[in-house]
Amino acid sequence: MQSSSTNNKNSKAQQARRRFLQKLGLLGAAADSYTLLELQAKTTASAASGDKRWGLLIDTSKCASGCDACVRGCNTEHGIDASDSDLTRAQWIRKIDLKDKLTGKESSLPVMCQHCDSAPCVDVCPTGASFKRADGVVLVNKHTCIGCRYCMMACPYKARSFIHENLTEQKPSAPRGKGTVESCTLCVHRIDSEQDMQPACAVACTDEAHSAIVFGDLNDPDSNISRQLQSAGGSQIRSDLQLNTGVRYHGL
Amino acid sequence: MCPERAFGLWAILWLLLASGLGHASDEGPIIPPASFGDQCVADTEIMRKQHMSLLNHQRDETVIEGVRGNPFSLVGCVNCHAQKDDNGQAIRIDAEGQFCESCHAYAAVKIDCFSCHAALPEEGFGNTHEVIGLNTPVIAPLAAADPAKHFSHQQRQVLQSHRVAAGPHNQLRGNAALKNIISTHTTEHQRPVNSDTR
Amino acid sequence: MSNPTTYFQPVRTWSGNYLIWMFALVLLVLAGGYCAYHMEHEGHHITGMNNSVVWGLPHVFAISLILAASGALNGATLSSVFGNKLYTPYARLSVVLSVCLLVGGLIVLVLDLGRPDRLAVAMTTYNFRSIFSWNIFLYTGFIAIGVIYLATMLERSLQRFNRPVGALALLWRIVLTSGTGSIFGFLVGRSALDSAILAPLFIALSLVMGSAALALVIPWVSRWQHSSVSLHHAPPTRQSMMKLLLWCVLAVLYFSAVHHVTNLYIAEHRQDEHNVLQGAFAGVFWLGHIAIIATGLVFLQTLRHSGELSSTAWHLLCAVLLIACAMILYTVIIGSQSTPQLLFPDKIITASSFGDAGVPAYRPTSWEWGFGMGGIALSLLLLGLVLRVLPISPTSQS
Ligand code: HEC
Ligand code: HEC
Ligand code: HEC
Repeated sequence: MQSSSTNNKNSKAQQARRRFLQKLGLLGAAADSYTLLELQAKTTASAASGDKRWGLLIDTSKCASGCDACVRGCNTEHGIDASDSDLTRAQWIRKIDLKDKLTGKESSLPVMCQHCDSAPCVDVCPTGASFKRADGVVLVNKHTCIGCRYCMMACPYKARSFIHENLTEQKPSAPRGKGTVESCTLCVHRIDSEQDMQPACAVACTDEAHSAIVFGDLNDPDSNISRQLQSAGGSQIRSDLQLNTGVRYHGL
Repeated sequence: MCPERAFGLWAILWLLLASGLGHASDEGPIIPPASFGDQCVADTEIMRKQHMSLLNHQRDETVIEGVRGNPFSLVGCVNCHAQKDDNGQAIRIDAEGQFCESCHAYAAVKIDCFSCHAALPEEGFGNTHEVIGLNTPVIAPLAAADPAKHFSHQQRQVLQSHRVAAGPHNQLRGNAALKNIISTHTTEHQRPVNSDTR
Repeated sequence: MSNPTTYFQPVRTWSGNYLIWMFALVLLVLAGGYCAYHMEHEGHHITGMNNSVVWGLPHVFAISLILAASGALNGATLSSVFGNKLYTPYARLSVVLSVCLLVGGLIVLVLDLGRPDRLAVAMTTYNFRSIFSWNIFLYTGFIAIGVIYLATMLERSLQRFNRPVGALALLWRIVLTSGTGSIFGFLVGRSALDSAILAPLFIALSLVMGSAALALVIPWVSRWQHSSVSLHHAPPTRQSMMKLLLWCVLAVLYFSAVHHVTNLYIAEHRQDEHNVLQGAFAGVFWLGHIAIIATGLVFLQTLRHSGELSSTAWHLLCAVLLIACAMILYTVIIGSQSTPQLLFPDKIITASSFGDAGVPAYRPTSWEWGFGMGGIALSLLLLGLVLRVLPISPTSQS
């Protein structure tokens, strides 16, 4: 099931683990009298691989104005409370309704982190907490985020939220807390864990029978998303900035 | 960690321990027993001494490299170690006297992990081990709705491997031996939030 | 050449004036500290800042202090690098003021972080692609150079290094101010800011703010010293400072004009310009500029007639300059965040939950004011304490 390259990654991770254990052995006082229980066997998931590039294709012709299923799906998945002020609450996805200046054509679409290839937020982050994973997902490492909000200044899409209040009752799978910046993670906790898991927004959209959000590997020419991009095309928001976004829009 | 700092920490801990500050006796901290499993994710001794570096390592591996399903998941710690009150409601693991807090209060350590991370077990976790038939459900990031479905075959094998025979240790303890462990282990682990992220 | 020899002494008085000042400053610092603590504890929702205006009033205070710090070094560099003897009595004061202002500004900047407790992370992990990271070095370096520079003034044996260190300090601070300007200057996402002109604008602002701050601090200090030195030196220095300020004011006006006029000609920036020139920020924008222009005109007039300003008028005008520059910074920093980011140039936005059609006005809360004022008070408190310990204040020996 796994491609050879992910196996490669896997064994690399295991090597790293072995090194780590060696280090532990050196460091730990009398560590040889202890054993970590079969640690080697426990690497169950492989590291994010550079062979993949996760992305979304959003078909605006299928996206309905007034429908915010994706937003709700995202909020539920990550335990985001949508009842606070629009100004200060986290909005990983927001729905925008548009009207063309020339033709008057109306459209509606969700905007979230566009997972840029050359992401301005990653460039400006002083501590390197904003980073791009090998598989193209742009994340905040909240363990090193100091909450300076420079990335929010830099983001052309206004896709990031700062947590303005103490939070309680977070989901175990989605740690979030005051004083750090966050944004769409493409549901890494889902897509990493299991084959064929989709981000919550895509699932919610499909459940609503719109199927306007397609998730997949942009590097795999046979993936659903790549085939749809091939046939129907997809543009980037603010393509003038040449950020090579991982989120593409059809019918914009 | 620089030697001066390590020494400073050591000295502070020493002082605290010597004076038994804030504790009725110098029997060591009273640590609530684990709620699940008969074995921790690694040898207990190692867990006591090294859980910080293990957690840190896994943290970076998960967040930065996207490696999931390793044993030292914070979610796992909470799942197994959070207590239930008399009504069967889970108690926050960072509440006073609870697993993480008991020891840390004794050692004068403060952690901020649970300002973000859930301090309560995953929803429906209580049933998880029955559903899968395991004693030690370690990692269940997705287990909320239908845990059985979300574990991969590999993960299940890992879970199985935790069923290493080990005597039940789940009594409440005032463990004097811990004092030594706490005071000797501190020198070598890396700090949680900084330095080792690169 | 007719200058009386200048001696330097620590402030020795415990007189009412010093004590009252220090006491008031301590109170302000405590109040500011409480505001900062409250903000950290409750989260930033008690401020006017939000996910659109992510940097608010505390940043304006912090950047003002940092710019003033860089500019305050003027006195010292004019004296030791350019050999302008008029400034020599104030060279030490200028360096100390500069370092104190920088420390105050940095503390405000740090306490405004979401997680100030992770300062250690900021100091140990760097992303060298980030201008912010470079600025951390520039700021700490500036403090170090300031201290060495001061040492070359205090310590006779180090005096021969005074000039080279002064030159280094001059260079460093120009880089530092450009760096601070560049924090804002390369944000492709914010059309109002995406402009290289911000770096020189910030340099000009820093020169005005720093010189004005020095001018304001001189009488403060000499009153404590009970000395007549300010009378000896005041008139020529004041005229020369006026000249200096006039040039800097012109520079500010020039760069600001270039910044805004070019923006008017860049189609995608026009919305931002509208917001600044006519919208919610028009008041602050125009008041700031008019105040600067008016002050400049008064200086020009005074210099032309080689007349002298009364002390009160001079200090009042310096204060006006400081505030006006801060107002200009306010329009740059907050104005730029108050326009919606243009995602869809050919479309009208009919609905959005997140200010894509228009960002609601930012209103700083009293927590932010208290916090910012606390930062200024901290700088002055530090200054007062250093002056007590080290021979900084000039006196013409009795
Ligand atoms: C500011 C919020 C925040 C704080 C504070 C925080 N974390 Fe995290 N942590 C996160 C986020 C977000 C993730 C990523 C979750 C994911 O991708 O599934 C994470 C993931 C992890 C993981 C990997 C996931 C898992 O459960 O195995 C570990 C381990 C971890 N953190 C440990 C810690 C420890 C230990 C601390 C305290 C020293 C801590 N964290 C403090 C936000 C935080
Ligand atoms: C499978 C359930 C399980 C998980 C997951 C788990 N533990 Fe444990 N842990 C236990 C059990 C059972 C014990 C008691 C073992 C014993 O007494 O020998 C224990 C013991 C410990 C001890 C020693 C306590 C004492 O009384 O001295 C520490 C420390 C500890 N665990 C930390 C952790 C941390 C940190 C994590 C997360 C990385 C974790 N555990 C995850 C079940 C678990
Ligand atoms: C057996 C006692 C004990 C238990 C139980 C325990 N800890 Fe610790 N922990 C310590 C000691 C002692 C330190 C001392 C760290 C040091 O040297 O500064 C520590 C440090 C840490 C640190 C690093 C903090 C720092 O600032 O260096 C983290 C993170 C941590 N523990 C997490 C946990 C979590 C999460 C739990 C609960 C699942 C837990 N610990 C349970 C004893 C314990």
